[in-house]
Amino acid sequence: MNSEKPTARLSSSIATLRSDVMARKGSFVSTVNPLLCDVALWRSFTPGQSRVQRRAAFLRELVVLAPVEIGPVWTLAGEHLRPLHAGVGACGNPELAARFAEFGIDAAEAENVRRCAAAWNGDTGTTMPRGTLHTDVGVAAPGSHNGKGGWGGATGMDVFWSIGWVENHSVRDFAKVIRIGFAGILAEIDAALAGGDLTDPDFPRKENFWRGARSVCEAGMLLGKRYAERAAERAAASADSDDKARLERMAEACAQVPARGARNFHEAVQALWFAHILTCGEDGINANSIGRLDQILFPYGQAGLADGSLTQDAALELMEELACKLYLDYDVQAITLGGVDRHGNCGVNDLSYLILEATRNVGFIRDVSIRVSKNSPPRFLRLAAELIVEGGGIPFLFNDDCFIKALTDRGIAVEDARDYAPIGCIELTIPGKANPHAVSGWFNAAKCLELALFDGADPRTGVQLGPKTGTLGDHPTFESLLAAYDTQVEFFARRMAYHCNRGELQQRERGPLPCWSIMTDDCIARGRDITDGGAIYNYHSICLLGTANTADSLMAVKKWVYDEKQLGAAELLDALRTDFAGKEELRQRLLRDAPKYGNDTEEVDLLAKRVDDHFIDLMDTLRSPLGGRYFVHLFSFLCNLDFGRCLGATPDGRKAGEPIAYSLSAQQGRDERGATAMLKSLARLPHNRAAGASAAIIELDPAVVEGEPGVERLTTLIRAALAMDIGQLQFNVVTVEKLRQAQKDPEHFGDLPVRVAGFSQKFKLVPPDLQEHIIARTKHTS
Amino acid sequence: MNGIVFDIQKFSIHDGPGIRTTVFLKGCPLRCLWCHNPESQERAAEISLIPSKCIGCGHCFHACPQGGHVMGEDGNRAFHRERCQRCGVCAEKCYAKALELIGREMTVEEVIAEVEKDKPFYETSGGGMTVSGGEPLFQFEFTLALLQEAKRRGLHTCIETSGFAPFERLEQIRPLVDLFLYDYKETDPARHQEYTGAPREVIVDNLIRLDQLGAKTILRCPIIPGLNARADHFAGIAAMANRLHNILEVNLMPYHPLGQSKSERIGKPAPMDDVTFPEAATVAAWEATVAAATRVPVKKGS
Repeated sequence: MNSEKPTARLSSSIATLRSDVMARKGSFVSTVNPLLCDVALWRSFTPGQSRVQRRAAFLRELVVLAPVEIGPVWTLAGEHLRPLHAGVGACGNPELAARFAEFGIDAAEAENVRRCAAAWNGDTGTTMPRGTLHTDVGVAAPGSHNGKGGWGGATGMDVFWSIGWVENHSVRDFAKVIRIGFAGILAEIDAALAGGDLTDPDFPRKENFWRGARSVCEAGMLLGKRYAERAAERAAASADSDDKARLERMAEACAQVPARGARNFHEAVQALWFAHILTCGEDGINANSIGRLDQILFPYGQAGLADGSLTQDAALELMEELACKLYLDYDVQAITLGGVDRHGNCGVNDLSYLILEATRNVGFIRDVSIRVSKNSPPRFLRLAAELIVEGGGIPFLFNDDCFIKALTDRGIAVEDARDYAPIGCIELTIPGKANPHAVSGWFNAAKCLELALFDGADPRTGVQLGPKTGTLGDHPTFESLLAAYDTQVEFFARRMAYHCNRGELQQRERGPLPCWSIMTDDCIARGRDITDGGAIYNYHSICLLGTANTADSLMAVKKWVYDEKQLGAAELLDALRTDFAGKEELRQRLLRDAPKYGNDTEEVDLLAKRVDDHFIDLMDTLRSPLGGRYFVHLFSFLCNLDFGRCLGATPDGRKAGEPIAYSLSAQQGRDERGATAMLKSLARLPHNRAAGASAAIIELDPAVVEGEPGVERLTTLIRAALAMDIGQLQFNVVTVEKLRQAQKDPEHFGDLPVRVAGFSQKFKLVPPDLQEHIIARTKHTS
Repeated sequence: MNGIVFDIQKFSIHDGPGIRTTVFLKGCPLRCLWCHNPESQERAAEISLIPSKCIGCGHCFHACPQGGHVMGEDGNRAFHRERCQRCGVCAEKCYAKALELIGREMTVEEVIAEVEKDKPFYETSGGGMTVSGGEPLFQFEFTLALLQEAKRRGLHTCIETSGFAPFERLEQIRPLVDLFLYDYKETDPARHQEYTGAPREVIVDNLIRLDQLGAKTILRCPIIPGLNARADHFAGIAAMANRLHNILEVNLMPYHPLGQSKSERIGKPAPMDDVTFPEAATVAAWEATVAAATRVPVKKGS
């Protein structure tokens, strides 16, 4: 099936909204002036203001300047504040000079705007690409890469990659905005300001934050006011009675929210959407995630249904409209449904089903996850399975039993841990309470094994990257080799953490984020920005890559070099160094005649577990400048390609430069015993210690999940996986034949949705090398 | 107790209810023309060769004590099967897995250990173990021991059988088998003998007696265009289904030519190289024909 088509279940009005938002590539005003961000920045400069105030003023000016448009049929108001593809710095483009006039800016003043933008960009050391501020803070910092020894080109990603900070990757406290509005938050801030002690040495710093935070609240209130006024104008001018009624309702809702608390379901959704576009205005859309939508909206939906002011159909349509509002080609604005509530009771409610149904009806490749466990209602799992077999790869499944334990074991209060939600792909956060520094660092275990085999030197360049721990031949036992591997991991992991810590500091100095802050506890009470320790929970999450390759390689070395003693160390190292040139027979032996992770073979699976446990143990000992812990994502995103390029031939029979395994899946093509064996292997890994979440894509032959028995079969597979404490799962249900067809004829077949790496995407939008990787890991039809 | 096993297939979804593990035992007294597991017919081990997987490393030339693997005059490898003693040494040295030994001796414990690995999936899906072949009643002592052990461990069991065996064997395993997947291949006795090499009477007689003992069955009917895809056979299937009291379903199994390439791999001629997959509409018409003549649910199997 083609999941980018709406289902027949969709009403004609939602079908109209769907076409409209797809044509605009998202909720953007297509006529927006690309100089908007530059002019807003220029207008926000007031001498003597602190950086946090300036950041807040910038957001406020965006709200002042952004065009207010209300499309036909929509009942939810609000378009994104920033243009789709322009950030600060567009004023450097001479072709746009004429458009300064639209803001009433003459040539002389335009020069000031340019200097202002240049100073801002220079100041932050970034080029502000694609409409976000500061996205690359940590990346651009000198020394934050270990860029040595790249095998397949200068990608700079071989042993590790540190960022230390990622903007927009979080879930903000939407429930609070819905409940008390920005006016309510403003009152909290004013109370804090009024209660401050002038002689507190920290007061001036806190005051700067609170004053910036006030501006953000004002911006939020203004956003609703502008749309309320425009809707009222349009209503007055409308001759069509239905349309007039729609606009009057919209005007009424926008006059209430997001300034004050929502009074009904519609206002709750409207408030959430305004809060989302406001916070995206500050630090970009990307992985600015929604969180537990069914939990947030439930009180309003329940009340409406109870007093008859809301019908099931109206609620469903509004959820479909929200899905349209969130539409993007690359969508990682994660929504989470189900799971337990803060008291540990089942939180699956009517809205959980309704939102899944809405997701299914609009047929977008939306980023929707469900939280499940051994105790999940069968009907909920069953509906999820129905969606999965339709082929869009959604929803993704998160196992509460694993992740609540992983989080509480690492200092998160149990009530808060029960409230977790994924961000973007799979990264876990505590909504409205955390600064999660998601995907703060990336670490390649397989490269560490390569260095352990070659005395810490890159076998291709000879450059000494790690400590000298001897070559393979120097290790009399397998245990001695393992110790060398551990030493390499520890050496680089410490450096990675150091650079992550630097990234954290850099963001604190350069880019306060007052909007994120006012939607995160306890920033207001502490008078601290989110970048400055305002959040209740601060932690970093590190992606560990190469679990399967490291385990398979260790297994092959153990079997042939140490146990069977049929392969000499020098011969193996020589073959690896030369990428098995003239040694295809040896490569086949390593590839075919040593157990591989993913086939329910205990010995190699336990090596994989050891690789993960060792890294998690190590991360558990490290801390960041904010006192944050280091959590682990057992997740690769797309970086298994980049890290693979930087890795020579490995003893698992993998050739130099080839991708390494995706997340916790087997190396592509090595799981030969079917889905149940793959799941058994997966179950041996420490999901309940991965506080950043784990990930694996299970490839299923579409024939296996065909028809009614197929849905039932998938449900039983999922239930077994949950019973075995597997953490996170995504399913891909496509055939190689279909993917090849999509490659050959992207125009007609390219909309085929595929699971990529924690998100789904249309196949035609995936770059060619990644297309090949997806095909390689996909099962052939039987 | 040892048996000759030629495959253990995890995540089997077509051999009984739920998610199952199917144990394939070697050896079959029948010689069905359409056999899709030709490597299962002989009880002894066999060597399978897939030339496309061969990387030309030459290990097998040296490994074979009989000189069975040689470089042919055309520069390609050649396998002289007439010299082969089926010792499997060549397959052991073939890391590219072009050569494989089909059929290895396993104990009941070894097989059960492999089967039990997927217990978590049996529990959620109502699946279990299916013993298939070949004809599992051919290695009767082993099959009996395997089923006894499975039952001792609380596993759901199915057996896939042609029914061509002394009835005492069926009688003995009946309490150990939750569901019989019983083949019904041909209604006309002469054709039955011609197509399968075995008489029809014993098989049908066994089926009816088994039914009288209360054994639950699914009737599995391979349908081969040009052979048994005939109106009289469809009527015969329905009539047989109507005679049974404990039948759950009739499965029509449309012919697939997988057996052909498998025959080549073990150096045997493919007997039916001119038959292809039937069209979906054709299969649907078969189903409708049979379904019209019986109260028993008729489904497409595979």
